[in-house]
Amino acid sequence: MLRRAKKNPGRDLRGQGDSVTAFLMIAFGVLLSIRESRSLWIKKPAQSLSHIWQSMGEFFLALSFMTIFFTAPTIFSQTPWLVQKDSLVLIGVLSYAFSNLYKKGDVFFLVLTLAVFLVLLQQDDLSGRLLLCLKLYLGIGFFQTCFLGLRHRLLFSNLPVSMQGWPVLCLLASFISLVMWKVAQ
Amino acid sequence: MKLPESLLSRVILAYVPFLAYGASFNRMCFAAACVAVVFWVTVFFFWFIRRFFPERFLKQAFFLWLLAWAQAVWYGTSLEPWWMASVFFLTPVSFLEQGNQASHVRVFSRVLPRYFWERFLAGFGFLGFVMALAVLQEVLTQRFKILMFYFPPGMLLLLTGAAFLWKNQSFHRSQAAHYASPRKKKSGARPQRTR
Repeated sequence: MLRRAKKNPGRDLRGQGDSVTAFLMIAFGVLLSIRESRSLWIKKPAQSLSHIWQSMGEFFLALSFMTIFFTAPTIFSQTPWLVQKDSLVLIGVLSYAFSNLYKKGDVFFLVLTLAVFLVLLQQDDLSGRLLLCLKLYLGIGFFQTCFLGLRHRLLFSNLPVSMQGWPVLCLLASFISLVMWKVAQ
Repeated sequence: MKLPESLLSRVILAYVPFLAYGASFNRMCFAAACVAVVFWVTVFFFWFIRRFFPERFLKQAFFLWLLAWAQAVWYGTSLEPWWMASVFFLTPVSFLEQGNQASHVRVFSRVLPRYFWERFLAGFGFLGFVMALAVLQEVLTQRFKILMFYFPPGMLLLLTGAAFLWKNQSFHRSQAAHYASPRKKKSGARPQRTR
């Protein structure tokens, strides 16, 4: 059996599951906003908004499909070792296939892999997992939308040179995550 | 793969998945050590074994390698695999370029020690960066009781400070000023036309 001796390593995480989910939602939002968006998108926010939500829709579909794929065998009595929730390699292979199918970059693949792992780790039943998928979809999409809007507004502001680039991007991410954190609470 | 090559970008992007380990100092340090060790092992061994993979599948092999490491660490230590993304971001773009073949470089050439030394410093620098931010976070939360720094907004604020200090180093500023200053005309240069 591939399953490890220590029976459920994710159990201790479940107590603080909501906070880990919120932390990762913010992290995924930052990574996708910075690495998956293009500079052209910032100049045309109306068009790029549809790009973002289309991309997040594809993310949600892939995430939901993989969640169902990994949950369905557990409904039956014997779970094949190949589709247990600890099989990160299999999750990665499927995520890579999905990111290629949607013609996405490597960051999308990484985020999808880790998101599937998070969903399988945090929830036990199918309905809870799908609800978590929906939360991730909305949360990451909201983060990306806010980030895009604020970056667009920054184009028209006289930002000091010392703050341009990474400092202001991190500051924006901090403000948005503060709002999301309060909303989640 | 299109990723920024500068060390600052790589370090900041590699730090972002650490937001998930934010509430625990030990976990964060352990995850940073994992990132550094796997990064070193990757650049050392993968550089030599990459010739066994067809060039088309080099990226896929790299991802499988990463996934296998994340799975192994998950089995061994129950550390969640969020750090896997950090190794990916820390790895330089040129690492997976198809033109860079290990067979083109002799094993006993001077290029290899310099290459590995630079990678070693990058991993060590990332480890130091994460440790410094984790210690600062502990001081701010334990000593000054500012609990916000346990959470992503506070951690990103720390990251803002680090990025600001990094960007405005005196060395960087002097270099920028050097490139911004107008160059002197050479003596043999053609004189400009005047009316």
